[in-house]
Amino acid sequence: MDARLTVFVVVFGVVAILGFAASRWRRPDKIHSLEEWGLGGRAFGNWVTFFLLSGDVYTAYTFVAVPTLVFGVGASGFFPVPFLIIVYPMLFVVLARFWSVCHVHGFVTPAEFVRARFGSRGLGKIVAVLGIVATMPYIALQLIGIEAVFEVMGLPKGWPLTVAFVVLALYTFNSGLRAPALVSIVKDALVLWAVLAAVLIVSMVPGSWEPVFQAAEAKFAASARTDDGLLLAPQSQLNYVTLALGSAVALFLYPHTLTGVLAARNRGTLRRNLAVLPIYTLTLGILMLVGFAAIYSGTQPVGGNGNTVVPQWFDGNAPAWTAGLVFAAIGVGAMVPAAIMSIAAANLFTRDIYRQYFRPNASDREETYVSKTASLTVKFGALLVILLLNTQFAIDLQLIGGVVIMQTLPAVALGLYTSWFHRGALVTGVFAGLVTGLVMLYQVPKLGGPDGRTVVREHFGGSAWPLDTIGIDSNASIYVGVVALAVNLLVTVMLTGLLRGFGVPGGPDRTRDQDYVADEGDPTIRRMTEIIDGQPAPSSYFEPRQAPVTGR
Amino acid sequence: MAEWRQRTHGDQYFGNYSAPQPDTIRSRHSGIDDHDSEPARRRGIFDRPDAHPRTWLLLIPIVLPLTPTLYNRVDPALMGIPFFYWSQLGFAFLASGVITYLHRRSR
Repeated sequence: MDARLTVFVVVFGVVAILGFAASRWRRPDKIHSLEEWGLGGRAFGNWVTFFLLSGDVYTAYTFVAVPTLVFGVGASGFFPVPFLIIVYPMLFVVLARFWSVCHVHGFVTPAEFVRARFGSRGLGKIVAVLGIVATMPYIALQLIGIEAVFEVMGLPKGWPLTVAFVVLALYTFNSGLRAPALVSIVKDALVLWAVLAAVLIVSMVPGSWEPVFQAAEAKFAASARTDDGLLLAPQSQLNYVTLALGSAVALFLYPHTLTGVLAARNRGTLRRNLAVLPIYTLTLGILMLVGFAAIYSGTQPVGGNGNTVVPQWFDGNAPAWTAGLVFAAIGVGAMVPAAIMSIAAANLFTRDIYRQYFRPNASDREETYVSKTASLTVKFGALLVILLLNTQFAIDLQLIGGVVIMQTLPAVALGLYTSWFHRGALVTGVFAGLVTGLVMLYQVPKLGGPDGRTVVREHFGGSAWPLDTIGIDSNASIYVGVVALAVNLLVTVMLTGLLRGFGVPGGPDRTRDQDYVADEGDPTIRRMTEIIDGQPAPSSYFEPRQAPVTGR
Repeated sequence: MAEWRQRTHGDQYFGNYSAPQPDTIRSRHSGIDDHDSEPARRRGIFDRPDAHPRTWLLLIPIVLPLTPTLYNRVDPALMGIPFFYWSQLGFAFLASGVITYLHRRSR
């Protein structure tokens, strides 16, 4: 067995042990409740929350696919950096309010919040279904990340991926959100090493980054495409900006992000994390520059699979053991978000579909069991998609998923600020946005060929909608999600105005203004804990607000 | 526990839902306002208890990274890295700084 594979297998073994041991980590008396399994007891401190959120946001797929984009087209593939910077100031405004209202009322999912805020069970169901639909292909994408690594190591397609995923499924079933939280510590250490290795390797190039960028410039100048280059072409700027903005909006709305957020123990923990997380974007940024380094090194993707560029570059330029660690970083980096996403989707199913429509009186134990089973189902669904259908299908679905999840913005994000929107208008807005988004995605052709202008496939070819589709005289394009969201907002606002004007009664708002600013130690939250658990909360849960909060 | 469930499950919209203080449940738009007993409270989007003009500072690290005309250039390069790339990475520190400032001031 070569060194890379040995290192990879050892790290995976450690991660599997950690994952199972996580269920014993700070084990409460009542592990069989959704608050414990699905939210880690809502008690994660600064450090654990950091690892959880960073594991959640910076996924393995990002680490392999984005540098591949940069490798292929240069500047326009760099949009994840502005996206993952602007998202944190945006989150700073909304997350604390979301955390508070969910804690006061014991919500586990965004759909529960919407149901209470707008007094509409139907709207809650729509938000839940959209969340599940958008999350499932995202889990499948993580598998593509692992697959790329296996391909570079020369492993066959099929059983290694299945083994890795069965292990993941079992420890998530067993330990819930505690497992990805612990495993994420390993992931972050590995990612840090990968970044450090990348910087060191490029530093040893004579002239450091300069020849790297010169090589990239030469490559882009030689290609027949007009949309590549070290800088953004004029027609690429609109898509660059809207894609960054839209991705940031979508990230807040993805159920797995919100699951990670709700596991934090107080508002301060969240805000401190938001202050630090932009710095984490630098690690992704540096790995993206590896895309250019791969051009300089003349790296060729394995078997035409573009996602193998990063692992292949490390394989060719780093010692075998470091390559093994980087492969492990990508592998573990896929496990963490896949676990959180499956938990988030399972919670949505349990709280907003099973409990609403099948068993309203399900006990805590039953609820947890349903959630565990749902998380297994979701993961195996993703595995089957990757093994049986082709990977392009998962990528296309994920593209649609991003547009889909954005449509919940008026209800989930703006709902944190106002209950003015009418539930009927919100539902209509969501459908208007979905229809707009799907039609536009349908119209986007897939371009390819050496000059990047040959139509490879007629429909669903990407998320950049050419403006000349409707006759605007421009060769620029725009991110579909942003347009669909604009239509959604317009319909929601106008229809709400109409319905309110005609005095059509809206749903009752079950939240109160002060619920949105409640913090740990607040009497309303204490009350919630007593209601949910049926017993006074442990006193450790209510430390004075000024006490230093440490992630234990 | 069981008692709480029995109390609330009859509500078709909020089967698993429990409002902390049922007596203050309100519907802002149905004309029912039951806040009379409470002292003047802040309400509305721009008059929330957690609102502060300082918060608008967050617009800086949101708008700057979304303005490519400002940074879509090669020079000045840093260690051979074009301005386009290192300036965008630099925005991370800007965002972190502004958020840290707001967090510290709001405590």
